[in-house]
Amino acid sequence: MTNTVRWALVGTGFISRQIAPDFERTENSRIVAVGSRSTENASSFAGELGIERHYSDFTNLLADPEIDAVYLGTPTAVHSEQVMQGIKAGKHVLVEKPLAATHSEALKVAAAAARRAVFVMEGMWMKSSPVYKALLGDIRNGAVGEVRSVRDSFGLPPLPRRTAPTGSSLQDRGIYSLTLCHDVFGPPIRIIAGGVIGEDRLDAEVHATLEYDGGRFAHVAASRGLR
Amino acid sequence: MKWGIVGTGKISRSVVADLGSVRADVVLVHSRVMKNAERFAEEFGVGRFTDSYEEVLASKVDIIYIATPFATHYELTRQAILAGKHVLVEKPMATCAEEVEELFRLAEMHNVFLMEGMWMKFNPAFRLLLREVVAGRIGEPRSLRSSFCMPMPEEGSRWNLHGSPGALLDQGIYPVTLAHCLFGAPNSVYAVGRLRGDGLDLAEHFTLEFDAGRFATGSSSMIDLGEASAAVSGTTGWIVLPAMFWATTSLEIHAGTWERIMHNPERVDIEREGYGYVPMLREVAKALDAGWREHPVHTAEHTLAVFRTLDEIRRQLVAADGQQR
Repeated sequence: MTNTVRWALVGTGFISRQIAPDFERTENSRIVAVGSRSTENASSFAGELGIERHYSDFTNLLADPEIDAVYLGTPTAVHSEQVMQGIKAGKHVLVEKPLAATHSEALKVAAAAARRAVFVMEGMWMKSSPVYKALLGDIRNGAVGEVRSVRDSFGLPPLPRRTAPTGSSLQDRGIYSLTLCHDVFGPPIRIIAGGVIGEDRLDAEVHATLEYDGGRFAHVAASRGLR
Repeated sequence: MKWGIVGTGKISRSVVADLGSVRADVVLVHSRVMKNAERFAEEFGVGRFTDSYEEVLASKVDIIYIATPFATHYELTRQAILAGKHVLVEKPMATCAEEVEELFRLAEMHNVFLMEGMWMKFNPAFRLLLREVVAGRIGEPRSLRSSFCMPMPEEGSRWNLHGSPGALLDQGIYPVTLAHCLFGAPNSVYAVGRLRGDGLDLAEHFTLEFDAGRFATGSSSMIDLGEASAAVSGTTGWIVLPAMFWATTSLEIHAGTWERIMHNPERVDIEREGYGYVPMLREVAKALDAGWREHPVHTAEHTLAVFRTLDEIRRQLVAADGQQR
């Protein structure tokens, strides 16, 4: 008999909207609160999805003893800071990818989680996908012999939008390709990368070669769109 | 036009069969081994056969098709040009850019037609790909990925440096040619590969970079199997050339609506003519008829540009190999 985890959803954007109904489809999770910097967004999201409580202050949300775990669907830039706050409050944390903006931030998060003995995970949902698991299972079972190369890329057609594309193509999209490469090959011995830097100084496009022992390699690419 | 065939391997069998479809007159076949020449002549109804290349050069043939081991292409082509023959020579035309340059220089001097048999560029599905890209079907083209990795049969001239320098010129020439067709010559090249002890390249992968961040990733291998399709991505969609991309008869056009792009691409199928060489052979016949000295689809300049890139890939492979030893 598993206990039901009482979740707070933080952030009321696209991804929270996508994930909320999926929480409800599981047998062992329940959303009990929602948080947003804007009271209006928090309350309308809660009303719309029938969530009991809403918070416009993250500290107050974390102080709620009836919350076991927080899901962070907030902008990448605040991920690691909010994760750290969650850990300090003794909450378990599921944070949207990327977990942090840099490797050193991620290390800090991991150390803090270990100290407080709380569960922290990046929401790399691809790894839980049944198809993805079947892929890794087939590879392990030798369905394609020894894996020699991987190629994968993540770009999406431009959507009608008010603003120019933002964010790091590598952290928002390339992270999927790199996760796949790591699952198949482990860490690379060498990386060669090129790309396009956008006006915001972030990587708008990236392509990279990851090299492994024995001449194995991966070609990966990611793009957020150029305009 | 009277054709002479030099080399009686698998590729010559396909090409001679396809020459029948364009009503070319194959009058002479050559092999270093008389028995092979005789057997080929008998099977395809070729009137004359020989094991003497001098005899081919001295004959009345107008054009010589050369499909011998790669490492012999340059010398046989050179001699044919000097004898005043038009030449269609299998890919790779030679083993380096310098040789290619020399062959085209001689062809111009002797006023003969010269072309490398880069049949992929004449393939109707390939022509359609280029038309769709130029027409903006996928927005601005941004990247290409393609690979030709296929373990080669253990016998044959491919494993001997006297026959072939390796996988790059045999297989890698296709992804590199495709990249050139889309983006021109690269600004920079990054390549890694594996050389056998004697220098024959077994496998390589490479990234070619072009203006404005456009790029092509590719690979070739004669020891590994690899996914054999190619894809051209643009700002608003992408087009897949299904396996085997170098001879594909279809395109999958991921463009237009989200549904079309992500889930249900438009698929175009074009029936193959003969073994797939007919479109190229038809164009060669047309070029000869018109008195052209090169074909606009695969000119001296195009051929040379591809070889310069191949040379650079090869140079990086050899340099890295030298450091490891």
